[in-house]
Amino acid sequence: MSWRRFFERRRRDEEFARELEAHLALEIDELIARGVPRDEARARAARKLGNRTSLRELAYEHNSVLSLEAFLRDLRYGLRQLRRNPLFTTVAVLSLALGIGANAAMFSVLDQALFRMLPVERPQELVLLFQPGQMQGWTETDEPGGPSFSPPTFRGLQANPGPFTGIAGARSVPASLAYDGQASFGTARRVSGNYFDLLGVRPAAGRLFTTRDDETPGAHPVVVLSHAYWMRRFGGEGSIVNRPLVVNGVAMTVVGVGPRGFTGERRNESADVFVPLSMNAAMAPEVRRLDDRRHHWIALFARLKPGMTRERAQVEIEPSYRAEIENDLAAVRLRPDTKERYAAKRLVLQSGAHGRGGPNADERTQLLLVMGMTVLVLLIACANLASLQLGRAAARWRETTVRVALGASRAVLVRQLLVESCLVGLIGGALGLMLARWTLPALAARIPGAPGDTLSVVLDTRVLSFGFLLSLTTGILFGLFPALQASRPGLADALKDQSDRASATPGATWFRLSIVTGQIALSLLLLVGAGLFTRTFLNLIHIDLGQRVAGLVTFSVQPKLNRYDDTRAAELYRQLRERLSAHPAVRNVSDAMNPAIAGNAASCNVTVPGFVPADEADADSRRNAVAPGYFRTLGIPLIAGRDFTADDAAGAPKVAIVNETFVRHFLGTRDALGTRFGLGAGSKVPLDIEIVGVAKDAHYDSVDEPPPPVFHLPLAQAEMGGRHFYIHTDAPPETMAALVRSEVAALDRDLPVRGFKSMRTQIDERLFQPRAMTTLTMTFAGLATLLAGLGLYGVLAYNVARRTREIGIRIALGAGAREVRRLLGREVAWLLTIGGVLGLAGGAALGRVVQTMLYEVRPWDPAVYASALSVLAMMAVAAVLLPARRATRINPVIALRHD
Amino acid sequence: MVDKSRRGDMLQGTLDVLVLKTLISGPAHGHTIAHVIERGSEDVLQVEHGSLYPALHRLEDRGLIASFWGTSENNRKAKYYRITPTGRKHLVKERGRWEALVQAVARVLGPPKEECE
Repeated sequence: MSWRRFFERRRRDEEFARELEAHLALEIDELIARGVPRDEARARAARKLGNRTSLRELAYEHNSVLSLEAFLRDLRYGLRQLRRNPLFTTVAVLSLALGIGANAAMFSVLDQALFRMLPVERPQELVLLFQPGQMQGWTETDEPGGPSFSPPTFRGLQANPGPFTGIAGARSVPASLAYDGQASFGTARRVSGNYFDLLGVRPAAGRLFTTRDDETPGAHPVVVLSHAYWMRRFGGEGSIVNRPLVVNGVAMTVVGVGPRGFTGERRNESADVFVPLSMNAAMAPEVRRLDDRRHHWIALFARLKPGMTRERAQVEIEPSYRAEIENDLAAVRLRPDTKERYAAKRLVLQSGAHGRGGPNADERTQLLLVMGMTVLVLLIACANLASLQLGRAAARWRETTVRVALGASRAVLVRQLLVESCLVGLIGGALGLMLARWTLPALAARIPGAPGDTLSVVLDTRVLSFGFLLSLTTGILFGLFPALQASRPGLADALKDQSDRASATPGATWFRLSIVTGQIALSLLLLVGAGLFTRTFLNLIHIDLGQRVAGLVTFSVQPKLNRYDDTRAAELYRQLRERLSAHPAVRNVSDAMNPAIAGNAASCNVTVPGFVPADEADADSRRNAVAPGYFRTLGIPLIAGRDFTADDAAGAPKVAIVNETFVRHFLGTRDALGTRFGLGAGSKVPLDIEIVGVAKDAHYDSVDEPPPPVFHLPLAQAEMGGRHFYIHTDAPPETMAALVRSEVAALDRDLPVRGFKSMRTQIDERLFQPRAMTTLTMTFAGLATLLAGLGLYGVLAYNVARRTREIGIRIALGAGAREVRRLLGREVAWLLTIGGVLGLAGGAALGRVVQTMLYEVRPWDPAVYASALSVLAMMAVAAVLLPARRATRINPVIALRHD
Repeated sequence: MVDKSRRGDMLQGTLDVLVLKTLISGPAHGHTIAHVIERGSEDVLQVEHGSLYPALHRLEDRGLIASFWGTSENNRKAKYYRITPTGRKHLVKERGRWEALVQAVARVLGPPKEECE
């Protein structure tokens, strides 16, 4: 009824105006008929009717659902109330600002990492192609699950796209980008000609690639800049189009700029420039060919035809894929069992709406976990505010009853109190969003699974609306129950001046106790989580990596990106080694192909006489190629044989140094020195590499995985790859950084030094995730415990105040301090027991969720639970101390005169 | 919660009953209603014309009266109100309540007494 009136109120207002006009006219007519002069009649009629505008306003308001005027009145009143209680307002606004700020920042991260789709046309139509299972030849990949395809397979699928409107391919490559004589490192994404068309993105300047830019290998020196790189490097200058940019030593023409916010279809990296796949040979320092079925390196995605589902597409593309597998099997010779497994492979489609390489399952769980913790902390803060508000309602008891006595309805009272708490929520929220704006960059750098440098740290409309909704929700959340309680006064009680009744009703008491119990449970849950992650982190940093950490720095140079050939590159490395080792602060210098404990792995199958592999993976060994002095520099002892020397050159007899695990795995108890093994699998593999040394086990690519079998070849006898230098020095890393830069520049001014860092930093980077989880969970658990402690203190202090008379009587009857303390202790014990049981149950559930992220800690680790419980107990003791002191000091004489 | 239809002060309720009573004898516009009430009460009850209209609108919202636009005796467009069947029932009920109240008050006050000096 009132809603209809609400929507009709303009029409009704006009009608009422006409009705009033008619009334006036009738009255004037009548007065004139009675002989009153016209002017006099008009004045008298108007007087008799009253103020017409205010009448209309009254009617208008009558037709409104919520009166604006009443709302403004509530708002003014609310603001006045908040000003009158600066302590409450400050505490409330600040705790909400912290809570909402953290939530908004976290939501921004989560939104970008998990929820937001690619900024392309109809992203939900995109699918990613995977071919998990048996591989053959060379595979280069940047994510697990078999996303790499050979160029011939890509072209074959492209020719028969079946359920797709098209299939596009891409793979990034590190790039040395030079413009106007200044070089910098970046990422170039090699893309197929239809890449931009298929994604449906439009250029911000110039044009994007077409299939004509990707026809003849090596014949299309054109480059598209990403919007971010364009802004960063060229300040968004449009004149860059048609200018030359040197990419990995090739002069290319800038043809256009991609759209704002688009950095490629890969989420966890941002491409600086895009080059056609056809330019691959010129771009990639390592030869991954465009015409070889054994080279798998292109990641594929496709767009579903309108109305096509992913499930149906997977069935319909199968014939095209099967044909490619047949082609592979015809072109590549495989062992029968391998062949069988290879033929059984199927193409798998995954949703591409969110792009490629988002957070993995663990990172996803961690993100949601951190978000959950942030919400929990806000919830605990809200609970405290609800408690406070309830206390204030008691103080405002008389005011409320007076208002009820004067005819205020309950709805009006509740509305007024809610306006007040929402006001607090909104002020806190606004402050929180400002806070989020500052903390977002720091948070973004600490969140595992967040797409690091691709993360935007700007609060967009989504985050702002989230913050706004959250502010209102918290306002209602902490304000509703106290408001409902406060607006239920009985006039009789008020007249009897039972001023503490409002917060002592069974409902209010129950509410406060359950709030505190909930807080205890939640903080225990967070404490258990924090304990588990802390234990994990401590276990990880105490792992013996088997190599030197202190006094070791590392960096890399990639002269091949600057078009050095093998000979020139080898010469550069030799000179650099010499120049650096000549420096007095340098103890040892060496270099290797694969960086130590950096998450990079290279491996291949080996054939060791007398070793029969259980399966293909069993014959796999990690490999590395190292310069002489590598083991000495890294502090890995050789336990048998010799180190490489300059004599182990390209033409010399092939030699290797293996680690202990290699010996254990492939040779067992047999003597390793002098044994010859071969690379690859099969009976025709020449056993031409002699083991000349055995090194002690050291971690290979990760901190938490135990050392795998590793063999090292001399650099001169290995396939050339990137080069990572190690310097054992007593000088601080900053000094070494300057030295390295000047020495590299002295050899080649255009050669950038890449990734200079201390070994400590490199290992810390590997421990980023567990450290982040430890910091975040510890912070949140600490905050939660603090808030729960405040909540507990509040309830206890209030209870002591309320029971002053009772305690006074007890003391008067001879109860000592001990009995009084026991009285309080019993209450706390109950809260702790119930909260504790709930919290432990939650902790057990949490432990199960995070099990895969833990290192050598069981989810039910007794030490973790014991310490969580003892932290909670300490919190409880601290919270009970003050109220207990007050209780034991109650003077019975004064207490009994109290009220 | 207070029953919405019965909320409000006594005077307002009284005005409602008086309006319904006026409309029993046939449709009328606001001006007529005001004057009929004034005259009917021998000018004891002075109706402030302004306060009449909110009462009329409330009654209409409650479905006790209905309105239509018509032409007055001296040819002016005016909004007329007529009582609905619900309105009639309501009037009977309220009238009963009113009489009960009057009797109750009268019983409390007792028979008129001489003022004592």
